[in-house]
Amino acid sequence: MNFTRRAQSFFAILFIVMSAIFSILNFITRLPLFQSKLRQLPEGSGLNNVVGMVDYVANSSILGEEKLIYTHSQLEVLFRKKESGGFEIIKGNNGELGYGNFYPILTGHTEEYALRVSRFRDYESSRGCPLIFINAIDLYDRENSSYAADLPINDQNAISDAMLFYLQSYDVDYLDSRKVLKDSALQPEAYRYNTDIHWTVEASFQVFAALIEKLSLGYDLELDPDYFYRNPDNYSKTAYLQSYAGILGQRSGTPFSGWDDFLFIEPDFQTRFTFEYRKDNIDYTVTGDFNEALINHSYLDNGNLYASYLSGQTPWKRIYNELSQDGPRLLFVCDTFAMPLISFLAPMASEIHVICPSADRTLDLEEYVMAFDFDFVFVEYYPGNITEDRFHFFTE
Amino acid sequence: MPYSSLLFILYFLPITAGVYYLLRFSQRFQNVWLLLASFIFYAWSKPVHIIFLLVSIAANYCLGLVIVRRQQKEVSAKPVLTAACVFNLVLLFIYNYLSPLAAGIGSFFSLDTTAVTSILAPLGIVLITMHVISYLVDIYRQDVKMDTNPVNFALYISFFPLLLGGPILQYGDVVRQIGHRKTMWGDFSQGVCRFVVGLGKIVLIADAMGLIADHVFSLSAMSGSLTSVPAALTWVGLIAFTLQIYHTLSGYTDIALGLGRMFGFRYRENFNYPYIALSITDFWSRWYTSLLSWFHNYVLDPLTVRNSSHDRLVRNMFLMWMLIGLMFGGGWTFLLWGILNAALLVFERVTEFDDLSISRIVRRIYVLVFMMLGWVLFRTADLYQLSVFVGNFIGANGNGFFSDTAFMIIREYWIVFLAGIVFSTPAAPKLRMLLISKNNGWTRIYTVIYPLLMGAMLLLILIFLVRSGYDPFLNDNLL
Repeated sequence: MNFTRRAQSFFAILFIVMSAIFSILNFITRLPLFQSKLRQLPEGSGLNNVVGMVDYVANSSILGEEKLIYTHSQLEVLFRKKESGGFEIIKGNNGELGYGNFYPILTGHTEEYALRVSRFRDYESSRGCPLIFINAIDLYDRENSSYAADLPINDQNAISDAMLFYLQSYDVDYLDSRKVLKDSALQPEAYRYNTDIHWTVEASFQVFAALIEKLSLGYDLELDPDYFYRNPDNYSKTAYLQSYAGILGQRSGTPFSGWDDFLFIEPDFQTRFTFEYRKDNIDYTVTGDFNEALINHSYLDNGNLYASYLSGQTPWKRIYNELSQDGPRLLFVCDTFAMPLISFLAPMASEIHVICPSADRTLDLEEYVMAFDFDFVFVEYYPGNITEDRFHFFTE
Repeated sequence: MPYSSLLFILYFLPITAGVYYLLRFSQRFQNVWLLLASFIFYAWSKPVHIIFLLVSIAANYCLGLVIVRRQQKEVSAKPVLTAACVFNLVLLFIYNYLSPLAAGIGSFFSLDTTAVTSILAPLGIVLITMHVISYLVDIYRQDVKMDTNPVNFALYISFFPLLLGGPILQYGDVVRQIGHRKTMWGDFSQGVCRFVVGLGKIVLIADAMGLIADHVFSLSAMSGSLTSVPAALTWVGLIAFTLQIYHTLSGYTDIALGLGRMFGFRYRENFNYPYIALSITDFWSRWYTSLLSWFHNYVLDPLTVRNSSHDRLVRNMFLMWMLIGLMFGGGWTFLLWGILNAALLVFERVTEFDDLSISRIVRRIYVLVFMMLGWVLFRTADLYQLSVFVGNFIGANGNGFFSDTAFMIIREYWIVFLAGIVFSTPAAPKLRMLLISKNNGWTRIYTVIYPLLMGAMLLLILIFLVRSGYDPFLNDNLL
């Protein structure tokens, strides 16, 4: 029995020393994050909100978390697992990651959201402003994705199909990016990143070109009559080889997810913008050319390459084109899929406003659109984001 | 604040234990500190619920004093005891059972019962009620002298290691420890090991098994027109739940006993490898023993008068088990679960099951089959879901037998299933005894290996906790 006690004592000493050191270091390193999140709480937040914030930050971020996630990911590889985090993420035969889902996809809610978009369209139409819905691609491509048959695949294309069906029934125009990419010269494996939910920047460029085409053919809006902005030769490309791990890759760990190549595309012609955006209740303004104003270099540096376009998701942002005041004034109500697309559109527009409803539920979209005269409105979502928190506008 | 949260492990526990040991010079100060920490722990999930706890403590402390005073004046304290028990049970009913009852009535009569169904039960209300009733009855019976220090009483009711699970206390067992206990290094080190073992059971086994069980039971609940759940998948789901419930409850017990030990308290053991039991009677002498002991002491014994007839004993047994079922939840399935257990126990007593010449393997299969049948009742939300699950289980819903998903789950989680099964048996303690029984080289190896293995397990727990809560974009909303 003495040996048992001695062994337990050794472990208890180890526990005390390690947990004391780790807890103190963890607190010191997380303190700025706690303070920053505390500052972000709305004024007059109750004790419940403060406790909730402390709880969330303490449980979501700890010292050395990347190394711990990396180790977890290595264990998953060691056991040859095809899922990560309790089926949160599943891995396809060609390395593509997707969300896991055991349950049938329900599409009943899409009719209400399509109705809200149609009300939005009706309001804008009465002011002479058309609206187009852009359907971004799902992670699961019915023709090209390849997963083991027994994995719980999350095929959300039914949501897209239902949404587009209801939009059509309400006579709302839309652009289905699935069809755009299928008709494009891009290879299916270049539609999306393996480690991210987003479409690639190249795919985004294809959708941008299709949108310009649609505006020209359907609305007589000639943004690029000389095929200058849509010509890929007028853009410079920087390849970040095997250096991008997107949302799914970072959550599951790179040993499990692997790395993606990332092709960064930016205009090779003269541009000048003033870019304003609000993040964590702080307003920022940046002026310069495309690379200086619209690209957030801190994201480029820390590996969140996709988020470098327009600083990813922020509740509100506005781009002024300093070189052309003749272009249209556009409004995007969207998720982060649209960020590269909006960046490519920016040289042709005089002004683009961008609102991400899920990032700020207090922002009243109806009041906002009343305050401005837009020439065109776009609503863009990926099927996984066709949810209540993205459509809290024109509810009646 | 769950014990298996980083907030608890990295901040709450080290601060609580650190300050506790700084206050070694005064047990009173230590108790005040533990009480303060317990209040913070309690209020963390919903601060307003601390009011319930404070009211319960104040009211029951006063009621206890009234009982003692009346007894000192040789006036009957029974009406006070009855009123106190009714008060606590009414509170329990309002918070725990009124909501499902109102929801049922509301849906039957198409009434809006949102005001009632939105009532959230305060943390640990069932355990608190049981601890309070034990206190009131024990001092009424004069089994134990009341500790009149209100801090000590409040600590008995709200001590944080016992709020989320673990053994059900009886006042007589712990009252002396609150006021007079010694915390030795040996206790602390044993407590740390027990706490980490409990965390391991919950984080590494129960959470994963719970995830699988949740998926299978949820799929079964919606099966029919939307989806079909083959029999093999329901089997896997039920095995997962069988492992989940054991490792969750025994994990919480390990945590409660471990944390208690770290602060000088010694509680009774609660689990003794129940899945190796040879009869249902044997099972219930190994599973959540403090629960049965409490019900025997405060429900069955008062119901049983001297020379009770067999019929009366059987009736009391069924009544007690129905109450045990309802303690876990307000649905019909819990009531049925209680009745099933009572029926099995009566059957074993009538047939003198322990004396029958049945092989150990058959006995173990019998126990596992009936306990797992019981877990189906325990896990399904209502009678409809129960019927669907049982139909799926035996392939009577046109659902087929083989399931790719079932094999995939086993392929992905075989190591957790294996660990869950192995650690449900006494294999680990037997191995340890084998290593340390002879004072030889193996014993010295054990002394070195044990802390390393425990350290590795702690690291693994940390890794899994970080993975489950990890938000790589905490600073940036990138979607």
